[in-house]
Amino acid sequence: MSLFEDLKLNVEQGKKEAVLALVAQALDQGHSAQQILQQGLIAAMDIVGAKMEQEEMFIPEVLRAAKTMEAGLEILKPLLGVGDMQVSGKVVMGTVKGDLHDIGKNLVAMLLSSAGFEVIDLGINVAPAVFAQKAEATGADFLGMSALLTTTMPMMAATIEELEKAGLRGRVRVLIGGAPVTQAYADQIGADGYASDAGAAIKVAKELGAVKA
Amino acid sequence: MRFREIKKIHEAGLRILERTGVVFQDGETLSLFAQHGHQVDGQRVRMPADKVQAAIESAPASFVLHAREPRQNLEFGARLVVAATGGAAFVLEGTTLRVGQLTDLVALAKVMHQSAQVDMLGFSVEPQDIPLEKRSRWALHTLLTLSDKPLTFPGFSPDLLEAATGTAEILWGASWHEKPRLLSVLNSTSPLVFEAETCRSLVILARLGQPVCVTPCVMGGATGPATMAGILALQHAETIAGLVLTQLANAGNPYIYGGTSSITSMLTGDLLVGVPQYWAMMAATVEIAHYLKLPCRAGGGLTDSHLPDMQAGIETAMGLATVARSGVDFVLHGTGIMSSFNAVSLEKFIIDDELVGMIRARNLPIVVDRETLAADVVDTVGPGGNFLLEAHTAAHCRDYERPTFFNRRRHDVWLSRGGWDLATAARERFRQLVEAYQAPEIDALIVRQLTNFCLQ
Repeated sequence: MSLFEDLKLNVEQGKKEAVLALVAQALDQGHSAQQILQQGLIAAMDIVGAKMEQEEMFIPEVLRAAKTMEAGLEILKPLLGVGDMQVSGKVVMGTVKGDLHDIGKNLVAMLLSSAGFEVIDLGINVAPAVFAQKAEATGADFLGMSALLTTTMPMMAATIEELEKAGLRGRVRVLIGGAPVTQAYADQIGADGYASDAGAAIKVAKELGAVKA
Repeated sequence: MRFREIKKIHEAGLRILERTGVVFQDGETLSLFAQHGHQVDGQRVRMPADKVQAAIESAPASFVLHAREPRQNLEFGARLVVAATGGAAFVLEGTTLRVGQLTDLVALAKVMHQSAQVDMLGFSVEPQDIPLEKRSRWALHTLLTLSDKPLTFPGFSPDLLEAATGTAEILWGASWHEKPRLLSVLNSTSPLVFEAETCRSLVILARLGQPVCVTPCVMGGATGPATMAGILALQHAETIAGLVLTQLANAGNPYIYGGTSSITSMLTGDLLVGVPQYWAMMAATVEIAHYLKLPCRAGGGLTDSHLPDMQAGIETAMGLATVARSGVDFVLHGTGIMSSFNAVSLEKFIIDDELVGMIRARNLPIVVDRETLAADVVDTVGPGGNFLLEAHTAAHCRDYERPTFFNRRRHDVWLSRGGWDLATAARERFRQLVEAYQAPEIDALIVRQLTNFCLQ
């Protein structure tokens, strides 16, 4: 097995020690940090993403792979140039005002981050104005909202209004999800994307990113 | 489970309460724990095992919930009590999911009132066409005027609590809380957190002497361990934590040990309710509660299906039959719930109602005595004879007869009567019941006061 094949397999299997050793070995052999990142770590996460979609990998396995990938990336970071770290997009996300449920939102945040998005997680009970303010301050490409309760869902619409007021609606794509949320609701309030689960959220974010580009 | 395993789970739960502790996000609640000698560290409360044990012993093994009509009163801890769907956001009509409306709740209340199987009313669907600040009041108005059965409601928010106590005062007067009349079901936020509103509601309701049920819904692998024993121990710790708080607020207050934890799909992160592990944990939940001599809420007619189809039927029947066999005291979401906890299906409501009837009939003991053994009749008829003409047969021919809309006819007869599938037959039955509904008696003045309360 080639060094890169070995590296990808170990990222996929979440073997952190092996990945750290292989990244060091690749650098010793004269591969550039950029090459190791692209052909090793990111290529591995592409495989992981595909396997998740095929229902071959389970969420805890995907998260472990993502953590392993991040550990490898830590070694490379000092060696990478400014343009080498391509980010798929910047996402500000949180659970809407009045709602304290964050398991699903956290899962989406972790998976987005492992898929190359920069995630700014605002936590729970986030007011519409706070969403808008943070989206503006960070120059976010996406705004992600989660709600578990029918009673807090209307905060999603209120947040979109807030974005409009702040003149951000043109550049920030809004993604929503949560148990009672549906595509119909997303259409109704004018959200750009809806995802039924964490895996789908990554796919939707990537598609919307591509549309924008 | 064997006795030894039940005991081990109980001890593991006590250990969680003592070592890890539980977060209560409310100041008054934290002071209450501190005053009674629990170890309070920030919002984290660690509970000594002897104090927990004392709280368990102070909660009654049974209690009576009083209805508007005394004939409808219910004893918890004595027999199976079934409540219909509680708090679905959507109505499933055919394959279409739409938001619930007040007209849906009205139709469901009429059907619940007539059902011989649904013992109590629940907030079966969220009437989302009513503004949020008025929703609880109108829902209570609808349920309590269209039926005289007792009520269970989700008591977790101040507006719900205010609506329920206000309604109770109109119905029963200022001293309404001298008897248990409102059964509230609340949830801990797994793992090991009680949100501020939940804490406050528990304390207020306990001080009013009203029964409460804390039902943790641990999602194995996400908000709890991935293993069944680990899920049960965590669930145990959380529902016992709720019990301890209610007993501190009002020693001897009725409490129902709740649990509706299940495993999580490790592919999507969704809670799974139509799975064997859930049914097994429903039974275990009842066993643990009864080991502590507490009434228990577990199980329900739950399914991951999105249609009243065979999957829904299998999953619902497995869940309900399991808890009924285990001797569960209280089942919420007994009829009509669909798409996990998300929707109510009118057809499934009727089908589940029938299922509950079947399960109750199945669980009746087989009476074995001289009359039912019928040895003399067998001797009289003798080999090769028939029993249809016997007086004994005539005397017992209606024993097991139950009206049903399930098909019991031959294929050609069934076909000539429309050849309906079960969902179609159920839809027709629902329509008939709504049409046949007759309102129970209620003082017109009370209705007017309730209406004014809603309009305020």
